[in-house]
Amino acid sequence: MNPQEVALWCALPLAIGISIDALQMIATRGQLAEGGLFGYRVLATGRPMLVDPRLAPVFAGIFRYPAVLGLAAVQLGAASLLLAAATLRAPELVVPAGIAAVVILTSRTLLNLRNQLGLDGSDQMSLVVCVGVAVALLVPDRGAQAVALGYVALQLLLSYSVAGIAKAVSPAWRSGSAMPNIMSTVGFGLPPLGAFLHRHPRLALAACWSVIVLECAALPAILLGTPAALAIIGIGLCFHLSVAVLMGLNGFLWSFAAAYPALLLLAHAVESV
Amino acid sequence: MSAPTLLCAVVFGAMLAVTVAAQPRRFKWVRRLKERDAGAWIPLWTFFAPNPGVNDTRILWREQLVGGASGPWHEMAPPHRSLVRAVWNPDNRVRKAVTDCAPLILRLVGTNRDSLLPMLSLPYLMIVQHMVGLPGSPLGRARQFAVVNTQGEDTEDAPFQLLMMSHWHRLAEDRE
Repeated sequence: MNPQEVALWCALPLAIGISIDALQMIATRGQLAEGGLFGYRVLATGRPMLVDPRLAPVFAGIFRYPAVLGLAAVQLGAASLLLAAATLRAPELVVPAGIAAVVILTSRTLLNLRNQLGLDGSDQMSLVVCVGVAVALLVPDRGAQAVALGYVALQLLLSYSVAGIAKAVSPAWRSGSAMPNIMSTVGFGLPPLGAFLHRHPRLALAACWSVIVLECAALPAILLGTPAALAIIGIGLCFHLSVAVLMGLNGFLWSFAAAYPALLLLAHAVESV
Repeated sequence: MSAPTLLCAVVFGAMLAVTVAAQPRRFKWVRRLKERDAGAWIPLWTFFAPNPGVNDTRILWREQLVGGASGPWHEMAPPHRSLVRAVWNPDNRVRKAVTDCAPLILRLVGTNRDSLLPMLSLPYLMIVQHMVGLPGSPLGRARQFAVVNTQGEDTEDAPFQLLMMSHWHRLAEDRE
């Protein structure tokens, strides 16, 4: 498997997810203006470096509204380039796509520095994939490319393992009460489904344990090679799709799907060992 | 092994090791490390565990009108339920930020009782800034917010707990 080919497969869902996120940011741009939740005058008080007299004018120039929308526009442009490289597969687009990944990484890091709150796991996975894709597309060394994508795959497996272990030690998850309770919240759930699970505790218990087992099994399963990786990807896609539909967490599907091609590369490497 | 491969192995290995070490949130050094991680490069992967949120922590706000009467409560960033949010959910980040702010404010108020210090904290100022910027009555003179816990659908008999009520925050005279 050619790591750069794999990186371009990673770039496809990554670019879609980044584009949706940037468009969502533009759609809610009022929140970035003064008087919005993410107004910069207040946010600047949250980090000493943002009010440092030497750096403050530079940060203010980037982070004040409407200049901050430039970070969304830059991401949209870079994501379009990634998308073109991933679909056209033209060799001359590989390096520009790598640069686009660096641009996305920089923009998102700056936005995280500015906004400070409101981030979730999909933002973190997007950064991880951006790093891996950027290195894989820009460093002309096959070994380094494979290591960069291996990092993406290991972060993916780590995310499932940590989430699975944290659930396995949680009495709420082990007893089966976590899922109906989460689903009963209006913020991240679907109260009718929560009520349904409360009425069917055995189903709730099975649902909780399915999540625990699937998340905990991902890391050891990769030792079984490509068939296991394909199973993780299939189950993972269904899981993240259901999270998007039921909980409204639409970013996870794209950012985690972007890491799956790297998982296949890792499985292939495991098989060859 | 080539030099670029070795360099990548060392750098990515270190990043992975830091991520692994940073997962148990109970350690002080992890919290300090996360505070310094301005770009959010160190992921925390414990989704909805070990203590999943079983309540909705929500922020409500109301106005004090000319003459002293209080207006009705409104919800800041109310949830929207629709299938479309599976692909398009622009309010998600605002809702997440509001739900991130609420427990931070509660913790600050809890550890600084009878102090005005929490009012200078970032999450408090973010909420006040947002509240003041929301459209309201032209007769409004001040606004306050409350942090509440609810469980399940918003029905009359649903569990409801008032966790905190802010001071009144006077609105600028010249606001539009």
